Amino acid sequence: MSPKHIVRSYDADLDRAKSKIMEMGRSCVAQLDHATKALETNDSVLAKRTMKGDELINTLYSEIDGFTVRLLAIRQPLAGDLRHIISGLKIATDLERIADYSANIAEHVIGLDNVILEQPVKAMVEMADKARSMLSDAMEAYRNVDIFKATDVWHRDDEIDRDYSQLLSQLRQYLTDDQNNINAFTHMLFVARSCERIGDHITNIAESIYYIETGQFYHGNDAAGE
Amino acid sequence: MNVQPAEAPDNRATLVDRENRNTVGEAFVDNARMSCRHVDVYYGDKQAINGVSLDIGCNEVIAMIGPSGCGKSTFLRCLNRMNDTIDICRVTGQITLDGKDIYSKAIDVVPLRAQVGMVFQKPNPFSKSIYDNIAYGPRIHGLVNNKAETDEIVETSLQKAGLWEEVKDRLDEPGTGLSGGQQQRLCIARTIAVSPDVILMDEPCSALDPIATAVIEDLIDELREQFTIAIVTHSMQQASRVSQRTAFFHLGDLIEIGSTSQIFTQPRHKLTEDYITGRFG
Repeated sequence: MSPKHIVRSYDADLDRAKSKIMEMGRSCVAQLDHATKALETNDSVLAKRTMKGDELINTLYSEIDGFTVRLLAIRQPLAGDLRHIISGLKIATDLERIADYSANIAEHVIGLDNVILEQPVKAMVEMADKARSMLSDAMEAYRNVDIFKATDVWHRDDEIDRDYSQLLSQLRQYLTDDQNNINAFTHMLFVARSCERIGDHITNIAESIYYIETGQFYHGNDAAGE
Repeated sequence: MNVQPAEAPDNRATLVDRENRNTVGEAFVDNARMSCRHVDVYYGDKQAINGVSLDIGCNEVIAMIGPSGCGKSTFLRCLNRMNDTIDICRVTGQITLDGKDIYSKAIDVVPLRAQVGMVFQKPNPFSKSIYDNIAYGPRIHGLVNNKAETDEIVETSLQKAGLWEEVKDRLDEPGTGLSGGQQQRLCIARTIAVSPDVILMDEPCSALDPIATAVIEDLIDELREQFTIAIVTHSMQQASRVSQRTAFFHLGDLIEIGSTSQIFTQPRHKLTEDYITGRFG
């Protein structure tokens, strides 16, 4: 463990930045959870609340962004501190996008307009649940700077990609077979796409955690870093 | 769940432990202008530098950093035998300039110090005119034969030091009347005037304001095309801005040396990391 900085307020600033990012991560997990529940239960009230909840995430992101710029200007960080601060901002950016996609899912739940199609909804809920679990683990990996957990999360995105591919084929088939529900299937396409993009942003977070600890970029099993 | 196992290469082990005093990194280069091998420096019984070996490459700026008392200035002063002026100081090991041992008995330190010039922390112009500050070196080293040649060296040196436009109409005025930043550039021009191979700079900006510092840093970048520069600085930001390689000293040991970008983003030694991130000093 590294000793504390001579300037004690620097440690307090780094702690504050990390704690804000953790708070943003918890809010994003909750947002994704609400969006998934709204989808599962076809709950438009919860969906609207989820869309509104995105404002809090945006506010948190602005705070982190401003605070990071201030840290860079005042502390002029180097080495591990620099990697922590830069990666923290990148993680916050990915979280902000994840929250946007969660709000998108909620918006499309409203667009489904009470059309209940059990099979594709079940598949989408499973995808969203996997993404939420990955995000939760990614944030725990960030808290402990645990590169093994981070890389585990990174690889789990393959499963989301496979699910997305399967669901896409199914939805194409539904679109051909069931002309009455084209509108609902289109909304489902967007929901599936949002889940897939959330998975990609979570892998970015995992890569940032890996960079904090090693100073190298993770590209999968053949990663040697740069 | 069908999840691939994570195979994360554990690169964390690359940080060398604080207690390890062996030099980490690439101390040697292919195009060395100066080579130092097993250099020890003693002040009386006290050893100030412990077996330091490194190269200084042609046309590179190498920064030497470390906490006060780490030996970086002592080491810098070995490179043009400035420590000879201290009676109790003894230097062992080998330091070569273009393959020649600068501590050989055959070496005359006066031309050596022209070949390896030095700029100090505090600007120290002679109590002479701006013109004579520059002309003095070339005259005593026999580099000029007449007024026209002297005029040319004075103008060229002041231009290279980025001072010509500011002083060309007042060359007869005393050098000590210039601002701090201008005085330091005058000292750099004075060093350049005797056509050195290497310029040593010992905290050249520590007495200057940020604007004058920026001008000197910009100048260092330009001078690198013609000269090899070794700079001691307490400013990590300055080291990262002006140098291509950085050497970190601690308690007389060369702890780590490598490319500046590597040292400041991914140091390999825990001591380097702790020092540059402000965890001890």
